[in-house]
Order: sequence, then structure tokens, then C-alpha cells
Amino acid sequence: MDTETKKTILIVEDDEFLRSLAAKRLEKEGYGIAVAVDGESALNVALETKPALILLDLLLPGRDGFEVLKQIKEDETIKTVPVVIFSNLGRAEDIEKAQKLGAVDFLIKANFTLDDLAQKVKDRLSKV
Amino acid sequence: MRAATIIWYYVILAMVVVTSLIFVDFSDLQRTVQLILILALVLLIANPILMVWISGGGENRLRQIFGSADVELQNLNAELETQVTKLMQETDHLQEVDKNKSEFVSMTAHQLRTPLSAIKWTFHMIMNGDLGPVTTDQRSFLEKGYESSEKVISVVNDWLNLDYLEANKKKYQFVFTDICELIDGVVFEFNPRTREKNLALVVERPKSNIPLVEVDPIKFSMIMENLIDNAVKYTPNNGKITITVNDDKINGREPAVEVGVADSGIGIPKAEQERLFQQFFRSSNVAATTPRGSGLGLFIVKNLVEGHGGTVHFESEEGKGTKFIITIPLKQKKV
Repeated sequence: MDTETKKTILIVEDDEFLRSLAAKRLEKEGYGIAVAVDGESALNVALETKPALILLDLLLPGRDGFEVLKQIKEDETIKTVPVVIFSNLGRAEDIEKAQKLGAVDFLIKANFTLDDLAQKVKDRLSKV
Repeated sequence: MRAATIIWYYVILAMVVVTSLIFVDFSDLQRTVQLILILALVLLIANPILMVWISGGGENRLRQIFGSADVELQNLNAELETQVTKLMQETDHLQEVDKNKSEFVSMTAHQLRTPLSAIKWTFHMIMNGDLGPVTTDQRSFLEKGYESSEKVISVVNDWLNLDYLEANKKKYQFVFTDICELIDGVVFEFNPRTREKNLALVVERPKSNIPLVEVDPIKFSMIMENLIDNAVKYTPNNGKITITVNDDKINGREPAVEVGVADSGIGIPKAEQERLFQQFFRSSNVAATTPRGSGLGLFIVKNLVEGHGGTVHFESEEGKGTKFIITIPLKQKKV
């Protein structure tokens, strides 16, 4: 196991089943997994765990993903953590808004397999 | 008295006209004089008749006529203003409905995609043996389930793209853009899929720099996504996809950029080529080999390329491959 795969990935996802599948697949790659189930807790978990990458859903209970992204990018301690939007929304305006707020990528869940996700995470971390 | 005056007018002018008609030759000049005289006659006749009519109460009638016409005009004007206000309200309402429809389509797509993601991921994990060993029979059933989920996802995506196309057909936000950078971004997104099929996806650029091109970056990316998606879908494992970007410097044509997407895929049967850009059209060999796709991708490409003032065409040979070539002007024409 190389050092890259020991990094922590924060998954912000309210759907329990999707969250557990994604976590299981990324754990298989050797990443440490942190989870947040809503927008309110996402920032706190990010501050506590200092993840190497954040997978962020957009439609979340309470504070939505855009607000969470904005908060992350405003926080000096975690603003450099790459945030990949991982959502089933995906209108052009959603993608544009996420990019403007500082997301490095926008993945539409349904268009990817978990193998693709694992590869994307690896590709993205290798760019950091 | 007035009646007598009128009669005298009649008599004198009739005499003038008749005399001119009888005694004068019909040269051009004389014809002109005759016409003037006839005109004068008409005026002279009309004038006293009008005076008699007015003095006999016609003035009131005129006032009545013009008065009622004025009221009618005012009514028409008011009605017109009401109609304009109504039309403006209806336009606002339609825009609101359109916006709500797009919101509804987006949210419904989201609600559909979420359980579809769960189904797709689960099939994929079991197929991969992540949850324990599977038999060959089990795998073939799982593959069918996985393909079915892919097909529904593809329909939902096309549905979203069509809605986007409809809602944004006149909303292009042109920006001078480095299209090579945009293409690189799109290609990056395809890495997992090309790796899965062991496809070589290569971007060939010319030695000289490509100038910035005035495109709508989101829509240009959609064009490239659709073209590369088709190439990936319809190229067998271990095949090659080549993307070329070139300055289109043909004399007499406006400066443009030419982007090609060539694959070593299954090609398009000759007899079906002319229907390729039609909505919902899928060629017979494509429908036989892959269950994905609803026949909207190239229709969307053509619409978006034309929205950029460009053109799209292709060369294809069945069994050997297809090359799509889009040409987009460097600068958009100012409307």
C-alpha cells in the first residue's frame, strides 16, 4: 500500500446505501473514509479529519452542497482540499455554479461505476 | 341660390370639356390639358355639393361620423392596450412555466438517477466479485441487469439534454476560448471508460497555435462529449480514437477551426447515412451491438454546432470506422 492510498476521503452523502457502497469501494483502494450525512455536519467533519479529497453531494438535508462548498473554500485551514462534486444533479448551470465556487470536478453518479470513481479519485489525488 | 350656382358650374365646365374634346387634336400636351380640365370639373362639382350638404345639416352628420369614429378608435386603442398587457402577462407566465418545467425535469431526473445509481453500482460490484465469487450463469444475468440500468440512465440523460437544448436554443454565451484546453478536459472525463475498453484516445494538435475560438464553452463541451461518447461506445476493445484540431484556412471562407473525431469502430451502413442526424435515429448495426443510446446524441450535436454558426459532416465505412468533422467559425457573426 503506497502513501497515496492511505489518505482520507470525506464522503458527504445523505443516501445511506450509496454512501456505504462508495465507502466500501474506496476502502478497498486503501483510503481512510470519513462520512458526513448532511450539510450541517460536513464542514465540522472536514475540519476534524482534514481529508485529502472531499466527495460532495449537492442535494443534502439542511444546508445544500453549494453552501457547504462555499464554506469549505472560505475556511483557511481546508480551502485547498480538492472538492469533487458527486451528485445526480447535473444541469449546465449546476456545473457552472460548482466550478465558480471552486469545485475541481463534477461527477454525475449515475454516469459512473464505483471503479470509475476510484480511478477518478486516484487521478485527482495524483494531480495535487 | 346654391342649387342655381351648382347648375351653372355644371353647364360652364361641361361646355369647356366638350369643346376641348371636339375641337382640339389629341396630342400629348392636349391630353394633359384635358385631364387637368376634367380634374377641375370634378373638384368644382364636388365643392358646391359638399357645401350644400353641409348647410343642409351634413355638418352635424360629419361630426357624428367623425365623433363616432373617434370613440371607436379610442375603444380599439384601449382594447389593444388590454391585449398587449394580456400578452405580456401570458409571456411572463409561459417563461415561468418553462422555468418550472426545467426544474421539474431536473429534479425528476435526479430522483430517477439516484436509485438507478444504486442498482448500477450494486450490479457492477457483484459482477466484479467484490461481494464474493459469481458463477458464469450468474454473471450473464447480472450483465443484463447492469446493461438495463445503463439504458434507463442513458434515456434520462438524453431527456435532460433535450430539455437543455430546448430551454437554451437561443441562449448562447460566447466567449473566446482555448478549445484545446476544453477538449483536454472532456477527454479526461472519458479516461475510466477508455481504460475499461483499452482504447487509445489521442488528441493531435497542429504545430502552430490554434487561435482562441468564440464558443459557448458549456455547449461546445456537450458537442465533444456526444461525439467522443459515440466513438467510445461503438469502437471495439483495443481500438483507437483520434481527435484532431486544425485551423481551417481555406481561401475565400471565413476563418474557422476544424475538429475531427475519428474512431476505428463499427462504421455506419451506407444506406442509413443520410438519416444519421435525425432525432431518435439509430443505425441497424449500432442497435444490434449496444443497448445504450436513444438516437438523440447526433441530433443534439448538429443543433449545437449550427448554434455556433458551424457545420458538421462525417465520413464512414462500415466495419472500418467513422470520422466526424465539425467546423466552427473563429468569430461569431454579430446579430
